[in-house]
Amino acid sequence: MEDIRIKLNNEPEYSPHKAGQSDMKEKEVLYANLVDAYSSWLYRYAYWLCGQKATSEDLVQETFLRAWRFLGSLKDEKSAKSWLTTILRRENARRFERKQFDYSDIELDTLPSDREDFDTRPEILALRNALRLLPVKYREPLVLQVLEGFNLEEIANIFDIPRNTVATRLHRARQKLRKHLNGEEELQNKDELS
Amino acid sequence: MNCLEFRQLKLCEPSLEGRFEDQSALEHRDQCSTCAQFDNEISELDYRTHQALSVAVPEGLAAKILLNRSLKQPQRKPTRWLWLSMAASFFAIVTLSYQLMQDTAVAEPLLAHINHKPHEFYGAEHGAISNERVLKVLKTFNIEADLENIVYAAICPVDGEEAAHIVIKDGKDQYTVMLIPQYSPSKTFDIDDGMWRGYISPHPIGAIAVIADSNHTHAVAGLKTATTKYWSAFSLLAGT
Repeated sequence: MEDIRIKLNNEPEYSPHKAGQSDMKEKEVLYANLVDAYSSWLYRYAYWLCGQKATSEDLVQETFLRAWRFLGSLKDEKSAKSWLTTILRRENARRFERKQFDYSDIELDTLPSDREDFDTRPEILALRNALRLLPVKYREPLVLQVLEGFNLEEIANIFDIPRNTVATRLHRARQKLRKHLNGEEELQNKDELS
Repeated sequence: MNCLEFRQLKLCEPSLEGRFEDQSALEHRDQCSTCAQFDNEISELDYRTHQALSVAVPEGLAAKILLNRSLKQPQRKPTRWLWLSMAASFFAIVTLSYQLMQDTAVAEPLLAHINHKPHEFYGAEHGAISNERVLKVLKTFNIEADLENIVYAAICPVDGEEAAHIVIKDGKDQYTVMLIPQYSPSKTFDIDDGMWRGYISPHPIGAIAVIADSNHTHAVAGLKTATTKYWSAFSLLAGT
């Protein structure tokens, strides 16, 4: 059987086929590398999926717990980001089914202290509001492309949709944002972020 | 590339510079001032979008994730090797059990046969039988024997298969020896049904069973020796 190896950030190689304590150590090193490299991205992605900080953090935690369990299925370093992003996306879908998350009655993002977390320039706030109003099917690929640099093929794989569909959604996402910011189109969205 | 194609491409993949196949788009941008302006506008939009999307990440998030994992999974899950070793153990138990069942499967029909025709255990009433008859039985199974005092020899059905049924008078004792070619036990094991006692052993021909009358304590005591002795006494006729 072919030995599958993963290498991250010049850390020692990890082989899922190795057994024993050293294997566990290597798994922990790999896991720590993944957390270090991708937790920030996943948090931001989660935020733009659910719109709540606490839920976003829960989603990232759940994502990494699941990643730990299935770390052996990760084939190589290049696919780690897409793999984790796919897990988080599924976790987000799951939260509607299992209702395990506790939601606060207070919208955390409306609290004054949270204002410090964002760029508060008027044009950025306006854009941020527009992004919140953008339908999720347009917003999601845009977040992946603009924030983390996923290409069309990678996004298509994560969403399991054709590449052309991704291209169309990105095209429309920018068009809608542009028109909204130019005052040509009002964005009204049922699934806007809270 | 025309203006429409350029704008479509720019709206779905703004980073034109990094793509080899977008050379024609870059050339169009350099030639068309309207599209160059559009290019700048979308690039600026993307830049601001990136800033708008970059929400602050909670402090210590990575550390919390690592801590959470260690708290939620204090016990190691069974590794793949543990599962494999468990599966191997299960397989070994099943195999051994099956082998044991195979080994002992013949004992019952064998004893049933002896019980059915008890006189054959003791041999013919008139004592030793002719060498010709013995040879005829043994030849059926390509077996030769260097024994004397064979008082009974027959080909008998045991569990639907043919077996050589031989009775040997050994001093004061008498043993029934069954040679069963179709049966291959993995090791020697006891048989005992209260009336008969003995051993079944693996043999080059298949199996050899040596059985004594349970009431004849002297014969029972000598069973082990007799089994070893008869085991080597019967041999295969190579090439015949």
